[in-house]
Amino acid sequence: MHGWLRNTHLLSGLFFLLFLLVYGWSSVQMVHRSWFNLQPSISETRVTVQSAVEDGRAVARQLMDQHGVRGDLNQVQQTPTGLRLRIGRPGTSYDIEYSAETGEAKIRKTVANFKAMLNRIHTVSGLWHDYSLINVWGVLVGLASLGMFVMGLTGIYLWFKIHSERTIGTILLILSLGYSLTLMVWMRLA
Amino acid sequence: MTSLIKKLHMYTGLLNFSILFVYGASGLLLTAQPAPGNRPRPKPETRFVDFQVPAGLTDKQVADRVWETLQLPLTAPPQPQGIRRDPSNNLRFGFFTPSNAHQIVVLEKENRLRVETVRNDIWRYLFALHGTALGHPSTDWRIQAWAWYNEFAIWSLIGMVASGVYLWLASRPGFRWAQVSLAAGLGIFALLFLLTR
Repeated sequence: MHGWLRNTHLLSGLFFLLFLLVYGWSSVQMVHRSWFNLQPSISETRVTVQSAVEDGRAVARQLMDQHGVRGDLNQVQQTPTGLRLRIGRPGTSYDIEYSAETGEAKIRKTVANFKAMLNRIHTVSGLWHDYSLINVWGVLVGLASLGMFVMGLTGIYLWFKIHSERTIGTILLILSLGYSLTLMVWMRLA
Repeated sequence: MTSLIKKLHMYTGLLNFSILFVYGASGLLLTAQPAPGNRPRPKPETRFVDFQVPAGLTDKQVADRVWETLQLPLTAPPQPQGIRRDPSNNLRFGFFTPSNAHQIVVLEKENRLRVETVRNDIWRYLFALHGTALGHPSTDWRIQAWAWYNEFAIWSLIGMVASGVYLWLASRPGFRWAQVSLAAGLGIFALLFLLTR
């Protein structure tokens, strides 16, 4: 039992090592924005697709099939001249102005730098995306979250089995739970 | 050295035990929730409060007065970018806490405020706590105390990853399953990172 739980703690920690590191580091970047340069690179291109299309999904499909645009279709908006679309995946987003009259699509492509990409990964979630690779991220977010519980519970067990650490560990645990649970309950009731 | 690192790893874990569960619960909520358009919208609780807009104030100053009048717990004065006019030209803004979202409409002609409050369920509450960090506009000491705890937990998480790797390498680096687990995790992450960049 002890060996099995020790291995579970180690193996889950190592499997999710990069995920935990990215969540931790991107949190630092998000909280302390002024410490980091998170400016993306932006480029613009113009392409021609079929004209007089009124359905945003149809325009998006043509851009994906013929012009290498990849990601979820996140926004479709009618404009006086055609459509405005937003397509994105964690590291790249496309803002598209489509003219129904000429069939021209102006594509503004924003690519996150490495650090900004870490922030985007932090916020990727869910299993409902059209772009299936984002769903894979979503599955891994769920597994990493379960991993947090597994590592926490096995960690508690492993600590408790070290008899010489029980006193100081109990004091730290009581301090930590007392502080956090008091705040959590207090803020909930406020 | 190893003994010291082991103690630090263990003590840090114990000090962060509850907040790691908050992080885990947040991730599970995000994984389980449906697409944005299909999410259930909780019905807000609506009330009206008498309020006369003083003459000569800017929209931001009016919003600050509303904040002072309502005295909603854990909130901060609204940020300028969150204040806007709706199609009827009524001033609108929100006050957000981990537990509640309050949407305010200043009904200037009626001399009153419409206050719509949506209470987060427990999962959304935990999710909001996971994002309550330094820089939160509220000056309430409970919010700030939690934000500092969150800051401590973020750095602790990074520290525990580093110390965990050290403890593995110092104790049983040849453990085959550990090597496989690390390689699989790194490989999957790197592949997805490159494919979705």
